[in-house]
Amino acid sequence: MLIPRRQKPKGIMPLPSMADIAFILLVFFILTSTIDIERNIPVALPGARSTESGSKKYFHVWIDAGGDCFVRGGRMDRGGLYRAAKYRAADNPDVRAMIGADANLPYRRVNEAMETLRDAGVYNIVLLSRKEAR
Amino acid sequence: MRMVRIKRGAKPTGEITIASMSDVAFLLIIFFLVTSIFLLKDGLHLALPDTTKPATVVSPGDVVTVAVRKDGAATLDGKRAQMDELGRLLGEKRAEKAGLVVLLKLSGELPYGTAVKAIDAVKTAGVTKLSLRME
Repeated sequence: MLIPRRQKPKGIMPLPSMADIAFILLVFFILTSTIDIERNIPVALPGARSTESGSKKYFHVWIDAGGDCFVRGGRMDRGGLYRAAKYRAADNPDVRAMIGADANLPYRRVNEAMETLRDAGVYNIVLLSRKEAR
Repeated sequence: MRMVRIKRGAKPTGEITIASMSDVAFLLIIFFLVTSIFLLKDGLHLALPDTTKPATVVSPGDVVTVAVRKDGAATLDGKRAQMDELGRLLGEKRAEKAGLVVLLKLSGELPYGTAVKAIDAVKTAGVTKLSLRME
């Protein structure tokens, strides 16, 4: 009885399927990526054990160790923060303001920012912190 | 008379060069992988009171006052307390009173990191009603 020889596997890459996968991944990255324009603001965040994650509509308010406030990468005074927050609250009343303030900053400065946000109609606040072990 | 022959343009082939297309796609993927970062969204969630609505009235018996001075020294109802123990002490208080309200008085000169630690202690204790006051 003749035993048929196994055929040698062909060294062909299925390019169309690979291109499909590549494009699906590409679409995923395009949809999920955001341009980070606030990377250069030096802020050392405080740590907290009850840190939670959130995914609702939000905007960042950064306050560096010198007390300067930044929204979307631009330095803002109290009036500027109020106008920016008012605009965001008008667009979405449930918007969250994520305050990323330096751990060494006097609390007074963060309190001022929270008051400004509240006056502008932004009531949901997240004090950004690093997650610490419980 | 000699006629000049005009050459007909070659018919375009209806093929897409998949190999080059996948190369471009993979290059773009590498670009996004290298440049993407995860956005920071972790933190302490607070809901500020709406000033246009009437203030909530709470029974004085349900209120526990925590004060933190600018040097980081904390007191719980006037008694000295360590910052590390605040969470546990407030947890015990909450076990006694379900509707516990914490009035957190923070010095304006207190480092923000310490202020977050105090708010964290309140949240760790499971207290949901927090009143923040700056002194």
